[in-house]
Amino acid sequence: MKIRNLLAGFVFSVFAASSLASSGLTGQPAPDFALKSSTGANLRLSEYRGDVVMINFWATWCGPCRQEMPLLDELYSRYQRVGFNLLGVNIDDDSNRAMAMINELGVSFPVLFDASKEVSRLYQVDAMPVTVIVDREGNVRHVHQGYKPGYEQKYLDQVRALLRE
Amino acid sequence: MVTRRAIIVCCCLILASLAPGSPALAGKDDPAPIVVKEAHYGEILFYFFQEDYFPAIVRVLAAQDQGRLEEHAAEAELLKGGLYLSYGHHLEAADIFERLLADNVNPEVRDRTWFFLAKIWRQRGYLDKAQQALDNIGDGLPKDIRREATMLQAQLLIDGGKYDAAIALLQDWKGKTEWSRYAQFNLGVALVRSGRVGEAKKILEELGDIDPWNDELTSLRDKANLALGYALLQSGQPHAAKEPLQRVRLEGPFSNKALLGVGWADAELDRYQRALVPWMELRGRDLLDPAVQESMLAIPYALASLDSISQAADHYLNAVEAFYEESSRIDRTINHIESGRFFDQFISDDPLDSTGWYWRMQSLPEGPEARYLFHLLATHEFQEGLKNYRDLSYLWKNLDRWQQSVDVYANMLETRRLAYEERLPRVRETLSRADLDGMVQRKLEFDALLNDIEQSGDWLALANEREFEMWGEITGLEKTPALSANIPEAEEVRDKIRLLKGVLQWGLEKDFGDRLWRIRRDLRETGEALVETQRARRQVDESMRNQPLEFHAFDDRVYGLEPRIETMKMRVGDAMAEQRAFLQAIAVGELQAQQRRLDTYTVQARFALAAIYDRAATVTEAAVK
Amino acid sequence: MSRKLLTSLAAGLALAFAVTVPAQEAASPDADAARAASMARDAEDAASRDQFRQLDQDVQSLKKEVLDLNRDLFLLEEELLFPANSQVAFFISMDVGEYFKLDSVSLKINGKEVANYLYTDREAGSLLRGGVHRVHMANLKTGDHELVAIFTGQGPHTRDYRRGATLNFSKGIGAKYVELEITDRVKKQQPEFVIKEWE
Repeated sequence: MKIRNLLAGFVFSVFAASSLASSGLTGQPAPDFALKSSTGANLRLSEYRGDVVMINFWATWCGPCRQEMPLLDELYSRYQRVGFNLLGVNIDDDSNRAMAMINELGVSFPVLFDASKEVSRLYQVDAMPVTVIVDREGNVRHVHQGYKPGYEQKYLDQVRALLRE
Repeated sequence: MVTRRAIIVCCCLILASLAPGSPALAGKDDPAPIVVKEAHYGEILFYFFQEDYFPAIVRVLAAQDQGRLEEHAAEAELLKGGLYLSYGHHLEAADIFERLLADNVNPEVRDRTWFFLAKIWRQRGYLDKAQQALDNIGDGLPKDIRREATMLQAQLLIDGGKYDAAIALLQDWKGKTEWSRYAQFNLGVALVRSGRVGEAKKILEELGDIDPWNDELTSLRDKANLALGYALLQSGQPHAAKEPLQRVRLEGPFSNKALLGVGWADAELDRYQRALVPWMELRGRDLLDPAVQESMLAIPYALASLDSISQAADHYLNAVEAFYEESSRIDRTINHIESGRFFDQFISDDPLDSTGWYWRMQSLPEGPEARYLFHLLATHEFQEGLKNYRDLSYLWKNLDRWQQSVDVYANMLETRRLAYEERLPRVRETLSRADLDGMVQRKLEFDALLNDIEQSGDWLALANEREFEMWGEITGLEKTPALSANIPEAEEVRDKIRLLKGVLQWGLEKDFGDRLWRIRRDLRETGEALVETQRARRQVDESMRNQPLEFHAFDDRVYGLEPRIETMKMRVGDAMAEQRAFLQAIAVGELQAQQRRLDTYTVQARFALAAIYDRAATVTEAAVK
Repeated sequence: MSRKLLTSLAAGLALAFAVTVPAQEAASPDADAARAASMARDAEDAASRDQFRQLDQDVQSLKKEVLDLNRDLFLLEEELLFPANSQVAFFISMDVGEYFKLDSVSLKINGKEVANYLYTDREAGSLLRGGVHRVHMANLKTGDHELVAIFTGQGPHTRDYRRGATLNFSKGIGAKYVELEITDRVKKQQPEFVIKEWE
């Protein structure tokens, strides 16, 4: 009896968690966090209030991330001066590997290191990559799981809409 | 042979050629789709397609006056031309076309328009203008239209008496089509009229022998045969005349004349018994037909020639009586017409109430008069006159409606003015209270202030009331002299104050960025709202300036219209009376002409009778002697 | 806070009274000289007594003022800091003469990490300007606890710098504040924690 309840609870929580992963955050205030960046400075999400922020969770072992990041870099360089910010959050255990990949791809947006995976847990990240778009008020407006060619068009449209607010 | 459909098609093609992106003109007479860019233009087209030309023209003129047809200016002008044509304003139309049809228009369209104009000119009798128009045609015409154009050219030559040129043209004409047949016929008739019967014979004979594939050609064949027959009769070839006359259909519209002619042919050949056959047949037909009337005299003539004198006398007597009765009937008809009621009946019977050059009566009105006018109606003069009368009637009704509307408008205007005068003081007051300029100034100052705050990072400036109060309290407390004492209690309190102040400061600094962007956003929205309000205020100002003037202008226009409408109505009424009188005169004239013919025949009959009686008397006398 | 002050007030008063009493018992062997001396001494004593009394009064009124102040502060405090009775609030503040860029602060209470805060440039600047950061609020039982606080940062020669401090404190019934001030008052160019507690 007890075990079954336990099992049921476990199963439920698994499913609940995975379904929450995408829908749970949207519409809610984005959980605040501060992480060290590749430049050595600490960066805090709430200090970007007033701008549109895209948080991109990635790892060196994730193939689609490689495809996605240069496109995100383009987005960043184009819209940065009108109030758009991109924070890349790397979850590798070893930040050196991440640095190497950053240099290799030549991305210019800030990259933060979340080796302890605290922030990615906060954002219920369970697959790679995950892209979260936060509006000027600090609320999560869109969450994209994974990356397929063509997503960048969606990002573009969403970011532009939010920039107009 | 200008049909209603043809003019619509022509205009459509004109329009289509000017519409951007329209498909290339096909050779067929199918209207291409029209791209309409303005509502006003669409409305005009609507009326045009309904063949409601008057309202269409009015709208074009109005729209042009208001400058509402910028996109379609050239097309509208062309349409106006076509509308004028349809409406019968051919002079205006020609002007417009001549102005517009410059080289930058599609050549086919241009040529079609010239051809069209040529037809109109000819039917209205302006032969030289028609020739000019024809001369303007290039090679843009499609084949079937080109044939018609050639026929028109032939017709013009015939009308102008240039028979040789016409013959040459016809001979050069390749392909025997309907058009060429008509041209042929006209030429033949013209040649007969000018006495060149031999040449006419050749032409008409060929025509008389064709194998027609439609009603019109059958009719034409009949006409040709008839014309040939009579030409031969007139030139003293009765034997040859019979053949073509006999080819005319017995049941057709020309059969009466043909029968008469056949009879005369035989009579010329002194074959009176034979002549009686077709004439007897004729006698039983409608007495309205002059052929029939003639037969009534021809028969006793033949009988007399056959020595059946008493029979001839009987026939003559019958003829006189019949003619007398018919003449009386015509008198009655003339009376009816002269009373004016006849034509109004005509007009009121027309259910469509539309205007247009190609209106034709679909059915004859009831009544005995109708048969008399059947022939009359076929004449051009009458048709044109009747059409004008209808148009005038329409105009009159139109003006009448407007007169009523003007009353309504005057009322509307008054109401509107009252409403405006009532609302104006309130609006003025509201506007003067709102110090928009002051607001704008403050907004700009605020912008500058915000910039300063951002530059200097003055987080205290963005504190809310409570926070600011607390800050004041703490800094006030800080300055308490007691605190500077060198005792542990004082130090403790000093530390505490520093802690409190520091916590407040941290919070204010942390919120600074957020608050800054929010205030900026609100300020931006305020700015936008201010701009909007300023614009609205400017509009109101302008409207306030213009409104009294507008009322004044409206006043003038509305009240100025009344006498104009009244005057116009009177003029139209007069014109209508004139037109009616004209039509009446024509109708009466025609009827009187018929009466005169009857009189003539009656006289002839009487003479013949008298001669018979004379002879009989002489014979009797001689017999008695 | 008020209890401590009361006890020190009481102590102060007692001391004040204690001072005046013994002066009257002193007698001298040489009568005139003694008397003169004693009269002189009396005069001196009287003068210093007056002075003292004056001073004392000043102190008294001062203390009263500070008392009043405290009352006001107390009210403010409730509004700004509002800790619940069972809680302990930990604050980070800075007072450094030489440039120091604070990077992070971590707190361990009774061996368990309760806070690990990364400071952005902006936040570090705020601290330098006098801002005070409430880094953690702990629900603690009454009794003794141990706090281990570590801060990292960069000194003037971009040297990575790391310092820690330990505090053993006891939690009473009411709320408690602990301010961890990073300061180089004691040793120049070597900032360290100076801890203050309030109740």
